[in-house]
Amino acid sequence: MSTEKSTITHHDEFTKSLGLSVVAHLVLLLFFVIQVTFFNDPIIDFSQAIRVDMVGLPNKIEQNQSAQTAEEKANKLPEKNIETQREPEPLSAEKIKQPTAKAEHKKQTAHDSQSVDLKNSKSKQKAALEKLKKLSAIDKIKQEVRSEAEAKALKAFTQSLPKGPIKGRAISAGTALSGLDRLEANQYLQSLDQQIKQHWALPQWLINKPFKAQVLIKLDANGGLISKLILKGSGQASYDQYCLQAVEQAAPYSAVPEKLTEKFSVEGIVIGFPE
Amino acid sequence: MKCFIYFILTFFIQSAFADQAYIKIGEAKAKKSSLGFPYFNNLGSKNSGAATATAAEIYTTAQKDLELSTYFQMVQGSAFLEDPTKTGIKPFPGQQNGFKYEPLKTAQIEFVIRTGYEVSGNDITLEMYLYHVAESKLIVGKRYKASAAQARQIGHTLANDILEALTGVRGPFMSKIVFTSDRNSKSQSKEVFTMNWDGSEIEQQSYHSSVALSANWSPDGKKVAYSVFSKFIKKNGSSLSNVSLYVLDLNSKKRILTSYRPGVNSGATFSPDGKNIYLGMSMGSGAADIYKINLDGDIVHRLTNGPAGAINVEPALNPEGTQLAFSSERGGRPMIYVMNADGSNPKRLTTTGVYNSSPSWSPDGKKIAFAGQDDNHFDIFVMNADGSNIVRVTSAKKANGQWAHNEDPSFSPDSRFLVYTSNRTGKNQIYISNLDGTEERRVTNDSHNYYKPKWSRNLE
Repeated sequence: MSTEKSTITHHDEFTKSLGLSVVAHLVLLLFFVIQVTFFNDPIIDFSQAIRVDMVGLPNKIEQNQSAQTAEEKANKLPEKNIETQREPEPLSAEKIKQPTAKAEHKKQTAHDSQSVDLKNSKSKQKAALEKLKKLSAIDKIKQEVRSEAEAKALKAFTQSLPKGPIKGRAISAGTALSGLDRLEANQYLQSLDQQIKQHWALPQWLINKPFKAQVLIKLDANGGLISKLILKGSGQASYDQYCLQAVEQAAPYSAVPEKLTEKFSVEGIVIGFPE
Repeated sequence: MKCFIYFILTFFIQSAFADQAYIKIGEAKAKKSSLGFPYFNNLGSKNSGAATATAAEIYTTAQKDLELSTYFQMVQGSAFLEDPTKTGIKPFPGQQNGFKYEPLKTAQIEFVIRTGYEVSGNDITLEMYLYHVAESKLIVGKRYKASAAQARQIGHTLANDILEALTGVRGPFMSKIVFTSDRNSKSQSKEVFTMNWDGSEIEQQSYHSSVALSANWSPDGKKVAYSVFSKFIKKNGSSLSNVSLYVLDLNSKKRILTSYRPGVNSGATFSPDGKNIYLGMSMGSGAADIYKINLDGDIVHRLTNGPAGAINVEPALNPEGTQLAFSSERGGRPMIYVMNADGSNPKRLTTTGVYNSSPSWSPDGKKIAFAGQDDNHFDIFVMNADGSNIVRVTSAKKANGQWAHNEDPSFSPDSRFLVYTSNRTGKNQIYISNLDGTEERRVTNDSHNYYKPKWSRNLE
């Protein structure tokens, strides 16, 4: 009996709280309805907002920023100052500036009149010719010495080859690389990469064009260039020419590690320009 | 497990076997090619003073052009191991006494230009051959014949031919620049002038004794559109002051008053077919908008409309004439925008700096140059046509240490150079520069002021 009574009172309390809750909700709803209909603020329009930019415009590109050694930079810095304050010379007058004239050449070009002075230039030509002839003679001697050294190296290389019948060439050390040898090979290829990069240059009109070429080079033990060959051409003869020029000018390379001599003289190395 | 290790091992060994040593060398550095350009050989004309002078003028003109192209390291005549005056202009053994490639290779010359001239009466004939030394190969050969009075044109054409043969794009050396200037004027007036791109042959084109501004070329280079501060007296005695648009025929010197609506009618640019003009007109209100008109001055189309009093001016068309860049202050500050040629789909390109104006679209369509201000002075900037990759071209100080203004860029016909004005000397003078600002030249050298230079196409 008592249990039944208590459930009834519980039921009453529940109904009462439910009613209160409904009333409270209604009041709240009414409040918002009144606020929205009678006290509404103007709608904020974000579309007209003016963008405030905190970004400045870029600075001027430094000349030859990347391709300079520290030494060159040290030499160049004052020149850059002069350059920025210098008045570009007028085009119309005879004294148009040489685009190639660096600070050290400036003096020379200053009294080197730009207009054609046949007499003067002829005598100058003669003097320079003689100087260059001498230089080329020195070059020739240098080349002879170099080719002699190369011949010697080749001889040494052929002598180092096993004499007599070569048996089981297939199971010789071969050209397989693993472990430490592989590491050594990578190190050597890295040095090659550095050497070729220094000579890998194109005229401006071939820069940023989608040309690709592969060059196969073979090296002797001393790092001399045995052969160079376009493996895959770019379709642009002059581009291929510049690729060959780069590997040629970079030679002779550093001496090839002993274990790699066979691989690099027979199989060779493929160089991708630019990839 | 054993099997697995065996498998891994064989895989490694095999891959080692299969491995061809390979190096990816990466992108090349840009370099200047060494170009030998010895003085012309005389091919049998009498050594009269006039003939020698004509040949010298052609040579000097071509040499300056090739230097300015920034492609070459010019090899001075004295550096040839073989005396060019004693050898023929074609290679041995094709020509007896011809020049030899070997000495050129030793001197590390990549390209060589050999030329010879012959003068008969008033005419000069010039033969030119360009050789690639490494391949021992002729790249291009040309013969020019003209009167001695056209020496400069021959020189410029020769340089254009050389650049075209090597790079595939003709040089800009036969082009002109139109501008307004206070030279030749006693009062404050400014007139329209044209000159060769190198500053020679300045010619006055307008005579209004007023202030002329924003001159621009027709696509064929035969007409110039420009605007002038004008005052019109009406029949009823009242007067109208405005900035009127004229179109001037450079050959006949006939000028047509094309648009004289109240306010400004200025900043004209021709459509690629030369039949329409895009310009800014204010119609008497405070703010100008961009309109397309025909050569009779009738409005074809209105391209912009505010919003809310914002000006839209300085239209610059892309080479196809399908889009135009312009400056607008609709975003609060003047910035560079781009829209379709019918005015649809406007898009903001620059968000940096505080004031960007005077857009110029490159003839190859790839770049847009503009004058931008951030620290109280204007400089020239170049960006891709989509607004990316902004590069500063100029940065110069005046003698007193203050920053100079560099304004109003315009592209050369080969899209490799910009012409603009700078007040670094205290006067507004004309300069040209390559697009990264590393090679800059002053074109005018006097104490006058020059404004809004516009580069023509190649006028060959």
